[in-house]
Amino acid sequence: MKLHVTRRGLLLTYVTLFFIYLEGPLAVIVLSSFNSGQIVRFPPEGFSLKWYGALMDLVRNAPDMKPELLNAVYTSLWLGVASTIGAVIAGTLGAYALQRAKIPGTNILRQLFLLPLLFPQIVTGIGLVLWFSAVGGVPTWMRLLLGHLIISLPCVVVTVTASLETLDRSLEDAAMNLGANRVKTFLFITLPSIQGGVLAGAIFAWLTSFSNFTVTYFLFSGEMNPFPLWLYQYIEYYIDPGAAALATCVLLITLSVLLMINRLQALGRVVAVSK
Amino acid sequence: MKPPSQESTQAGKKPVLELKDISKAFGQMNAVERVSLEVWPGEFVSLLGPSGCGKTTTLRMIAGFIAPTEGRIILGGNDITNVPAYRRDVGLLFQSYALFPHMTVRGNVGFGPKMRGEKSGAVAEKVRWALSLVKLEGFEDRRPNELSGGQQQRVAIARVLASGASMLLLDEAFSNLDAKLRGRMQEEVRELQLRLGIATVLVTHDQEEALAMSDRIVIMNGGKVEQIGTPKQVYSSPESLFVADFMGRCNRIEGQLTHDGAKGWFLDCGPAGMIRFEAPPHPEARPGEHCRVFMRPEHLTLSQRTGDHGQGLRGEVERLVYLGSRSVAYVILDGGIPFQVHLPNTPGSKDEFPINGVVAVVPQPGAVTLLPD
Repeated sequence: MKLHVTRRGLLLTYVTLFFIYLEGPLAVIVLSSFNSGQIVRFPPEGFSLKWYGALMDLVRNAPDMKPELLNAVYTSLWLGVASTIGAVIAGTLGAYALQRAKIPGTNILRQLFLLPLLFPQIVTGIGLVLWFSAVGGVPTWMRLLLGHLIISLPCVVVTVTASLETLDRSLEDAAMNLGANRVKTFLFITLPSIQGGVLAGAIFAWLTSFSNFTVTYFLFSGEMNPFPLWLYQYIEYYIDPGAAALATCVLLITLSVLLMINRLQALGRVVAVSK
Repeated sequence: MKPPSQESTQAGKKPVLELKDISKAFGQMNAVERVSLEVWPGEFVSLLGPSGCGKTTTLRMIAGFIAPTEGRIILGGNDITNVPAYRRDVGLLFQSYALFPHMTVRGNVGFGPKMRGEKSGAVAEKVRWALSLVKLEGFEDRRPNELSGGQQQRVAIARVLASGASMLLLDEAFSNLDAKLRGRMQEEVRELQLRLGIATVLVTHDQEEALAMSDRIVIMNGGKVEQIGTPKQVYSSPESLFVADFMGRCNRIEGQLTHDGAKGWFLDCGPAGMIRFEAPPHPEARPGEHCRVFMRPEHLTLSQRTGDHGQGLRGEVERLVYLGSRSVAYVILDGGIPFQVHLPNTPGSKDEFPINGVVAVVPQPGAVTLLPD
């Protein structure tokens, strides 16, 4: 009995330390955003909300502030939405084809689909730059979109494949038996059954695009400056707690998206399958 | 392979379904080999066999999910071998029910008519009709996960019936239910099938289920048909050792035929003794011939009187198992062959056969069946 209690205590300590280590950097950012001093510093000196006020000035393009924050957020938003739509359509169909195709080598094809997820993004970025300059004439928005599509596609393929693997194939057989052709079966039976995976994939894809720095760094231009790059340029000039306040806001957005996923319980299903 | 009785009663009718020498090979493995079968209007046919015998593959070929490598499938006079699954009107009842979890009962049952392009009024009418057949009126707005196993099966049946299928296919349809519910659903489905007069093919590995429900049983083994016949034919006149063994517990013994002018034919089983035949075991029987016979446990009795010539086989009671309505005596015959004997438990019966007691196993008249070679 006593041993049991000790073991529990040890486990609890380990888990606590583990999470402090894991979430520590985030906590540091959040805490230093409330700093009352002029530079990012930890532990913070005094408590103040003034950097959140400065953030409002940034948004309003007040004088002496680096402009274009709203433009950067807007660019990131449409880029995220557009590449998510593309990734969801191509990724869902791709995952379905990979799971159902009766051809040899589907396993290798699946790995190829996932490669951008595992590959160093800097390689993808350099590759894209070289290719775009060789082709020439590709507008920035399309460069960004094509680049982001590459890195967000695997997110959808992974989650949809996981959903497809838990899908009871006899549901599709039953639909066909009842007179639904392949297209109707996919639309009325398959798609509603894997919608959790599709939604989770869409959210991961959007987050991947919204927060991507490395690939974006090779593709952006002055007039199209996605948010992570804007933030990077900002802290190059101003190491003030305003950046921390901004990062805290982004953190809040990300957290609420993750909570949304949890609400959809799709994450739970993905985890259950990957076991 | 058709029994004569079927041919006479079906004179002038056309079969609903014909399988003509269908085969299916997966790579080097022959899952189904030259299976031929005719299913007549209103008939209930079971495909019975152990797992891997090809019965499910055969069913999936009828449904159109698997294409046969050879042979033709004829439904209602039309060759449907190359018709896709969604254009064949054969209703398949799945083992897992395969109800669409994201749809209500109404959505599930109405799916078939809707996919076949019927107007919403006609769909609603079909749903009402099908749900009344399975006594599930009032459940239209439930979801499958809000129903019990038995109710789910009823919805699945209603869904198949509403689709207007010209025949039913049941794929191990009752094996997910507990024993008591299974019996009730078997009765209900059979009753419904007779009432609607819809030709049905059931795939099962449960011989009691096949015996209870079928007009005819097709026994399959290793991808081939072993025997086709009425439940009584396959149980009491098996055409192969496999069928005899699969249809129920069977006690096997072999020996040499002898003939004693006055008393008739006997099988000399060596140390265990002799068994008497009421009639010649087969038309060309001759003394000295080697024969294999089998006896069902319920066709045997035990006697404490041993030694009479031809009055049964001598052995020792090894074990007695009480099963309520009957007891099973495990007897080791002299010579080492194990036999099972069913003893009915009547109100007055008492334990008259002690363990290790010497007994005679006596076949009831007609119990000894010759096994084909």
